[in-house]
Amino acid sequence: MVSESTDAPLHITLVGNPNVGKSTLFNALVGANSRISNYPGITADSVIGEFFGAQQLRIVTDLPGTYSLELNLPEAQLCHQHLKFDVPPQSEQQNLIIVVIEAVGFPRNFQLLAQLMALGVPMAVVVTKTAEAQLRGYQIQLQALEESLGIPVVEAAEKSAMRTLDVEALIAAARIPTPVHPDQESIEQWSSDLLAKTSLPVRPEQARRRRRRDDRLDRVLVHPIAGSVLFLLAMICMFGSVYWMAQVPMEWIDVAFGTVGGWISTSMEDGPLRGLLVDGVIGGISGTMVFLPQILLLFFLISLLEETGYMARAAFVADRWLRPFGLPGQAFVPLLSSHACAIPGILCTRLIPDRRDRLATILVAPFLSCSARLPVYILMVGILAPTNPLVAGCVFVGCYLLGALVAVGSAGLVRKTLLTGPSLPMVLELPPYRLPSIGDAARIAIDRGWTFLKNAGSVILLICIALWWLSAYPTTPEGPEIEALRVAAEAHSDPGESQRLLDQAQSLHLRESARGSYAGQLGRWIEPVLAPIGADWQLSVAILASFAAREVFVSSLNVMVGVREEEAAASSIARIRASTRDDGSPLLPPAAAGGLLVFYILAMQCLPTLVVTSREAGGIRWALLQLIWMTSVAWILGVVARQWMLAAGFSG
Amino acid sequence: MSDFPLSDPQFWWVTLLAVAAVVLLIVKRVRQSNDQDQNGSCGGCSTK
Repeated sequence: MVSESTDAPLHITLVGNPNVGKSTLFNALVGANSRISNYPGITADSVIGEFFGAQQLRIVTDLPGTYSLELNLPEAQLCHQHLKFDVPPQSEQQNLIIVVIEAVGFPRNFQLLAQLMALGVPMAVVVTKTAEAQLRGYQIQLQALEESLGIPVVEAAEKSAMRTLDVEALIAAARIPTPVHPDQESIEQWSSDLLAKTSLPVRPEQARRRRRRDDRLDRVLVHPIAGSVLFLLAMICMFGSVYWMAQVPMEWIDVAFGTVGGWISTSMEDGPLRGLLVDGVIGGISGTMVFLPQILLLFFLISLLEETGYMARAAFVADRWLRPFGLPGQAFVPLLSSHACAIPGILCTRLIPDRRDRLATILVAPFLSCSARLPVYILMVGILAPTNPLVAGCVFVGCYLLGALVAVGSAGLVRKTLLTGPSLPMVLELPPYRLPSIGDAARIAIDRGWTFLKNAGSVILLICIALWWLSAYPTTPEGPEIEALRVAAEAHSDPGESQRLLDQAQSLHLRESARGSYAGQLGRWIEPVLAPIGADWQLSVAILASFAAREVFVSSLNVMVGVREEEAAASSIARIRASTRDDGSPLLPPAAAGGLLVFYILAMQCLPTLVVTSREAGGIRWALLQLIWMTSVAWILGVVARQWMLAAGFSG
Repeated sequence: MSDFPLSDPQFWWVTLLAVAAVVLLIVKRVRQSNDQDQNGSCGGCSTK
């Protein structure tokens, strides 16, 4: 009915309850990478994408989930607005509504379905989670549902089935349904008839056994104390195994880039272009690529955990810890999203109805460790726990915990001072436990890794090229000490000793050039402020370069140390670890690494997040408060961590 | 006393590349801020 090929695009709107799989379908249709998960509230705003099908442009709008168009909630109002003004039946544009309903909690979908059927727009239905419904002991009769609704119905038994849905056939078969009478009594009668006709029990005894097993597991995993301890242990094991498993591929990547850099150094004549290529370009790319194995493994394991249904339980456990600090239950999803990136986390807060709750969540969301911090964590944890993956796993979990603790502490402070008032509890349906799909988790990990490389990698490369120039110019002429070393080398009769003196002169020259460069001058100017957390002028430049984007830190440091080191072929992590300060002491001794790690866990080094905070909180003053508070807390706790480590006997 | 190797053609090439990198960086950031409402990310993180 709606698939006739015309020049005008077809507008498809995806509507449904929260967490039914709309974003999964959206991603399958347009090949996009919207965030999806197995807990509700991930899509906070309408997301638009497009694709070509049957020689026609299809514009797809993914609306946030809602149980009804008439609720006094932001997501319901957004859906109502879109359906009332953007897809009215009398509009000239071609419209189609695809209603996504889930087989689990089947009757919950009926209220919204009845409201959508009254719009008079061509419709089709996708029923999701039918496999999960069978595990719970009932089956949806698709043929009966299609006949009852008078519109085409297809099923997606699993998330992965979305990719193979015949969407074109669904679009071609879409029809305007016969509306249900709008009064509540008629809707209730229609719902009860529809349920009786379309839902049949299957293997009830097996489903009961499964429910009993899930209940037994929940008694432990959602327990206030046992659940928290198990969550902590699960995280330590996960991060520890990430460290252990990623060691070998990281070495391969590091050695490969070192070899390429060495080959270029020997094939090209010495000069600025070689320096830019080896230290700026190769150094910048390797500083990103080397962390890819750990990032991929981390995303893979998190996806596996999420698919088992465990992460929803972890949300429950975490909610108990959040509420005493004045954060509402609805804050959990934005805060969990912030572990990937603070921006979607902040955008998710639109679903928190109370303004004070929303503001408090926005202000503390960037404290949660996002994936851009991972390279810094990996480098610093590698210095603090170089040989033991279990200790490294504990330190890694400590990084995440510190961010979360400071976030809830700050939220408590804000709710007791600036934004006083009560908070609402969280309501969340726990999915059944199930075996995860390795293939799906691997696909998600590869997708996320590629996004990291594409987005972060390009910015890092550009910043490294600019930073290389700033650290190479202006050049500094050789001073009398270097000239004296060269004269002494020429005069020496022993060729070995002569070469040693020449190398010393060259090394000194590179150091002085780096100190005299623009980056060096800037680093020495800011050094007094950052010295208490353990930074010398080189680290200060890397911190400054990463002020607007924290993922730049390791690559910037790699460029900084590369410019002042003669040995270009050394691998990036090894080169940073072996680098020295002007006084010859290690660049990153343990106490300095600890101080800097704490600083990076807590500092607000992300300009786009500040922009989004300003927009979502409704004023630049909130972004400034966030910047000043986070940077101050990061600096103070960074100093405390370094001093504590110095007192404990670590060098630094 | 600091200096720039103005007579070295390679200096001009690397300077040109550095300027191009800064311009591209600005363009990329502006585009990202326009995209944030869609699939919002800071650019350094994965959003999924």
